Amino acid sequence: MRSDILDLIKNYRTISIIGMAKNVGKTTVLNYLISKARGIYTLGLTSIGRDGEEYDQVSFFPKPRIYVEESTLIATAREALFRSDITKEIVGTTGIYTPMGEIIVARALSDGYVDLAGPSITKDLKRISEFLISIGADKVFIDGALNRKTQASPAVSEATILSTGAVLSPDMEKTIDETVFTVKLLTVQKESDREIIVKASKILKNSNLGFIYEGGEYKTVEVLTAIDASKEIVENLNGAKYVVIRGVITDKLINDVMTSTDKYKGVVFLAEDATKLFIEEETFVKFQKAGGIFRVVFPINLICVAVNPISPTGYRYNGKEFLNRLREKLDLPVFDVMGGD
Amino acid sequence: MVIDIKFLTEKEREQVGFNYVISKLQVITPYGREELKNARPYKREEREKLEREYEYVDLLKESLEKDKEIFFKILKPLFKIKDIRNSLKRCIEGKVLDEVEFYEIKIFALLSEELRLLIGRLNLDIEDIKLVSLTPVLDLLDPQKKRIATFYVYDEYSCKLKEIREKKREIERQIFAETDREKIEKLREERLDIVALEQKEELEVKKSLSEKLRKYVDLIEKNIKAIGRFDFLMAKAKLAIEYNGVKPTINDEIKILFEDVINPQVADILKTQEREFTPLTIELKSGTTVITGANMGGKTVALRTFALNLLLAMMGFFPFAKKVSFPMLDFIHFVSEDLQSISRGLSSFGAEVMKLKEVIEDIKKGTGFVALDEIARGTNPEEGLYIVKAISKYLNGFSSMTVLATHYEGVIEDDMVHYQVVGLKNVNFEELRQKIVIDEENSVKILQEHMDYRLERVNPNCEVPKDALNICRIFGLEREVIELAETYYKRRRGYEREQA
Repeated sequence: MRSDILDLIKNYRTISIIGMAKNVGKTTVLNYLISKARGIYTLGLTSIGRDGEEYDQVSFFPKPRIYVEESTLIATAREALFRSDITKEIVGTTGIYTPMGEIIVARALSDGYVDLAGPSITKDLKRISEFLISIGADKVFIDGALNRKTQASPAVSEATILSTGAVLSPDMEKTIDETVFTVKLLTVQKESDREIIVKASKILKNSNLGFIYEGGEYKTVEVLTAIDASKEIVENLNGAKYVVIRGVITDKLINDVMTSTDKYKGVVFLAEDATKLFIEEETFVKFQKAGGIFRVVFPINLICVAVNPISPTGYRYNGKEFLNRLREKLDLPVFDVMGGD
Repeated sequence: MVIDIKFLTEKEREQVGFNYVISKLQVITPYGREELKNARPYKREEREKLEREYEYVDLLKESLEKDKEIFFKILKPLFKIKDIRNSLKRCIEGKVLDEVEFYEIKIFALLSEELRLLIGRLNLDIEDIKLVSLTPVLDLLDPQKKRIATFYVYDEYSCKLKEIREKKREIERQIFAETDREKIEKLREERLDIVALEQKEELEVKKSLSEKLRKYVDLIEKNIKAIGRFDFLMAKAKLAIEYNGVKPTINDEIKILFEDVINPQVADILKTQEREFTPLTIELKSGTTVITGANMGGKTVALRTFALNLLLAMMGFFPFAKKVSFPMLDFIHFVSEDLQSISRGLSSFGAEVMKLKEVIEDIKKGTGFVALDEIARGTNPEEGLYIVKAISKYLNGFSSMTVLATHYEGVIEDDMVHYQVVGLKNVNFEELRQKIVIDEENSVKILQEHMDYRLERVNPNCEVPKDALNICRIFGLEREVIELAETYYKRRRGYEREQA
């Protein structure tokens, strides 16, 4: 499954890159994409929230920085903008504020390093992507995140690239298994019934938890967050065809439901999008075997997996082997961003 | 908005529908919002200013209807106006502005030029909304004279900067062409040194730009004020169009005249029920005017409507009526049963007394408007009557215009003006009762449909309508209760006649 990464993205205008963990090489992937696109596309860049310190805030390993070409458009928080060393032309202000200041749109008048700190709300992310396109970006790359903190979903982008790497574990097999399972989660099926989507969207608009029943009627249940809502879910499962959950669906939630009832058989647990599923493989399999179903309202279009066989903590895998093993196990194109393969 | 409580308390303003009206104002820019925030009733000595304000609102109102197309064009730049006051403040303080700040000031100057031309085309003789040309600001922030809406520290500002950037570009070209990783690293190091030089020189340029810009801050601020005024006046004019506002006259006599005045909040609520607000007409002279009338006859709404429209007029808004005339007012008070004070440990009557004390203090010192909404209804009726009678007689001796709504009979003296809610006076009660019997669920609605909310001037000694018993009958209260009440009523009448 070898093809040019540019070929893969050519039909999409907004592409997000999400990493399985910190230091998996998300920025390396981004730089790889940027270098490939050089001279071909005018790029727009932004990120979901903040993920671009010079040093990783947790592990203190130096992180690679994003290096862009002249004429690239970036949308980033004011503070982050002034930390970027491109010659910058200010093109627009957005009225969207982050802890690092308002998000500013600037054009790079020189090559250089940029620091990205974008919006953390899906709606803002969408607006900014559209703005970048409206002022001339051919492609918008979104430095995404796969964590519980950000609400903004990479599902707003037309395509998503998953970044994985040796940093996950010194044991290559473990990394491979984890990656394969993450791909499985991210590609959980989209709910295809239009009517259900309409009802689910109504539920998600105003509450954290809702149910759609056999006859098509639906209701919402007031809960602070869905994380601790197993009791409410169990209580309302009778006759339900769908459980609609806003926000993160945790391993604990699913386990709690499974230990309290068996009424979830044949019931669809509907998440906003696949990045909200934080479930262990074991639980996932158990749940499905017992007849539970996961689906999403907004699907993620995962187009490829980018791998980094080198861990910044000092070890590396056999790059070729890592790549080949993943290619065997996945139905997606896999790229090695370090080897340039 | 911080308005002196002499012109209603925050809670009373909410009750009379003032906050509702303000929420309907379409103020667009941060500067217009600032004008709104600072809006307050004009003082007695500011009468000329207030009259000029009416003049301006009137001009804009006419213009809005005449030059729709230009106004449509004005909206676009107006919506783009951002708050740059913080940057201007920093500039005055001698701070160095950054690229984003220069960008925002440049955008403001561009929009300001656009607005200057468009507003100019309206040919309005309003000094407050005249914008000055910001060409010097634009020339400073747009040395390439492209007049496009972006900004960077242009090469034109400094030859040194231009040289540094050329070097930077050259090394970036080398980095791009190089394939050897080590060499790339070395080149990147070199590049960082140049970046440091670039940033240093950019800072110099920004320093000098900030200094040059300081000279023009006055000009920019003048336009900020003009845009804010234009925005606010336009919002006032639009509101007047939406709710049929009228240019009021300020009179030198002490009298208030409302012809067909309405309350937008109540009118809008009624509209959702497919009903209409009955416009009210009243003339108040100095001293006490008494409104009596049926239960549910809208006396409270009437008082609120007067207070609301007077407050708006005092603040330079057009009141919502066919005709309004009033004198400059030193205060507007509204006394009614205050449920909140009960939680403060005061009885509702206690709270009224406290408020009345304040009102009387003000009345001794100036001339204003006072609405008393069924005061003393929370106390025993005998004492209540004496107190209301005493207050209305006392207030009748002052220049302020007091309007008192009451159920009590015998409050009105010959030298007071008396208005009555027409109410159910012309209604055939038996017919009405039948209708309600058939459709009991909608009894309130049916009653409201038959209620005539208009005020009519009546003889001072015209009897207070006795609708309470009728309403009991209409709503079908236990017959025995009604019959007992009628017996007492007749007995009392008989006694009174004997006394006479």
